[in-house]
Amino acid sequence: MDILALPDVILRKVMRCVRIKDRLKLRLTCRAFGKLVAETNAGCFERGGVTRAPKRYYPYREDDVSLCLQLGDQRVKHIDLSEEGLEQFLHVRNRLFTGISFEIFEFDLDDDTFDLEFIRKLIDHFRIDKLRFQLGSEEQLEKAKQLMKDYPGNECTIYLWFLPETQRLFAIPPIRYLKITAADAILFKLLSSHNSLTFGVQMTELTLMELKSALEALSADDRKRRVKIQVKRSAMVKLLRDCGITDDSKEGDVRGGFEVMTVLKVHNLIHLRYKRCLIEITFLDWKEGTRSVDVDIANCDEW
Amino acid sequence: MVLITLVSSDEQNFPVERELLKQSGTIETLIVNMNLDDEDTDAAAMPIPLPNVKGDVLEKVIQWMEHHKGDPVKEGDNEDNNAEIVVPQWDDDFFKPAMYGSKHLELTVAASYLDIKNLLTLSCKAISNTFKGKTGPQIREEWGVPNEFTPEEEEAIRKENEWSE
Repeated sequence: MDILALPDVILRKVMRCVRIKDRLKLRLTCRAFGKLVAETNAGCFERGGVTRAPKRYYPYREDDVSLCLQLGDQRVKHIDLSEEGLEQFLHVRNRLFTGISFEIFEFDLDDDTFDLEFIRKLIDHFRIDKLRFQLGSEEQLEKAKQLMKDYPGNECTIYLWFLPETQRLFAIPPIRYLKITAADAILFKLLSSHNSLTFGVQMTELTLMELKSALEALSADDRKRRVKIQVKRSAMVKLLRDCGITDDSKEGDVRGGFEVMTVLKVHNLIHLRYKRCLIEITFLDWKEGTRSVDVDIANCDEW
Repeated sequence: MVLITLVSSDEQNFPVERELLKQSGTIETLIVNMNLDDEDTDAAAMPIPLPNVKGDVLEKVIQWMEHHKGDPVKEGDNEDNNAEIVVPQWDDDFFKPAMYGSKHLELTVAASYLDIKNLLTLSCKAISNTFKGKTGPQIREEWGVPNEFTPEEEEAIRKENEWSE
């Protein structure tokens, strides 16, 4: 029995286990293997993604932008953003697999000139489980929203590297994880729709009322929710003192609705509970320091 | 301990512990259809014919099932991250001696016919591992595949492959 005489169902299963790198090599074996490579699914890979190609891949070009496509273990290093570039890619893709799946596919569309239809054709025949976007402008956000519509019900994560207009921000459909690198107390309002929020930029002001309002909202929510914020040290210290928690507070103390759960002075860490919320505050230096304080809030009963 | 006899295509009899056979979807169905689990049925007197599996291959299948006794049996078609499946050391040693010959391929066909999902998955992964990091000529040599490309054709494929890192 020779390998190519295996039943079709087994050959397809074997080919789902072959890395893209090895599919390329198999094409060089014989015509039958070449046909097998072209006519089978490449299987499921943990990660894939599309991003702007680093300049080193096309140093001879001055203005044009190229794309890089990560296909599991293999990188397609340079796809020209032109009809010809797309045709070239599709030609090779059709010789490499009939389809491919990714657990996570990342769109790093940091250039407004990317044509949405180009991207759609590029990822045609791809099955994507979770989408992840890195976005730097309102235009990119709009394109991402269009792409999300192509995958209704799929889990999405968005990293916003800018603060969009409030209306556009509220127009983002509910997703699993939204990270915004611009801080504003208004962002707490986003709690009403997203499961996990990280504010990547230090909040210079945060009042006790604002924090309590967020904690009330999270406590009232049955869904498992998580919020991470960075707060200016002096603002956090003032907030805690306002509710009666000080450097001398001990485990079991209850002040202003907050219960002190853990105090680890050596690690500048304190755990608080407010209703159903657990709050972990790290890098909390009561006296001095310029480093911001990390505040991690979860609305589950266990940390 | 209840024993059920499997009969290979070359008429060899293999008495096998009932529990082991739960790993095979095909045999499990036959056991149910033949009522072999009923207390009133004399299972020993009703051998199960497996006309598509030769004795030496069936012996290897039973050896594999004995080692994997008690492992959870997969349900349905698995479309997990196949590229990430790792063949455990014992299985690698089990497959390796016959890897490039027809024995391993026949074992894989038997795993498919007998619907032993874990054996089929690991066996397919072991075959795909033989391609890992090899060049076209190396794969040809190991699997005994003739080279039918002209140098021009080979060069054209190499050129097409160049777009990747």
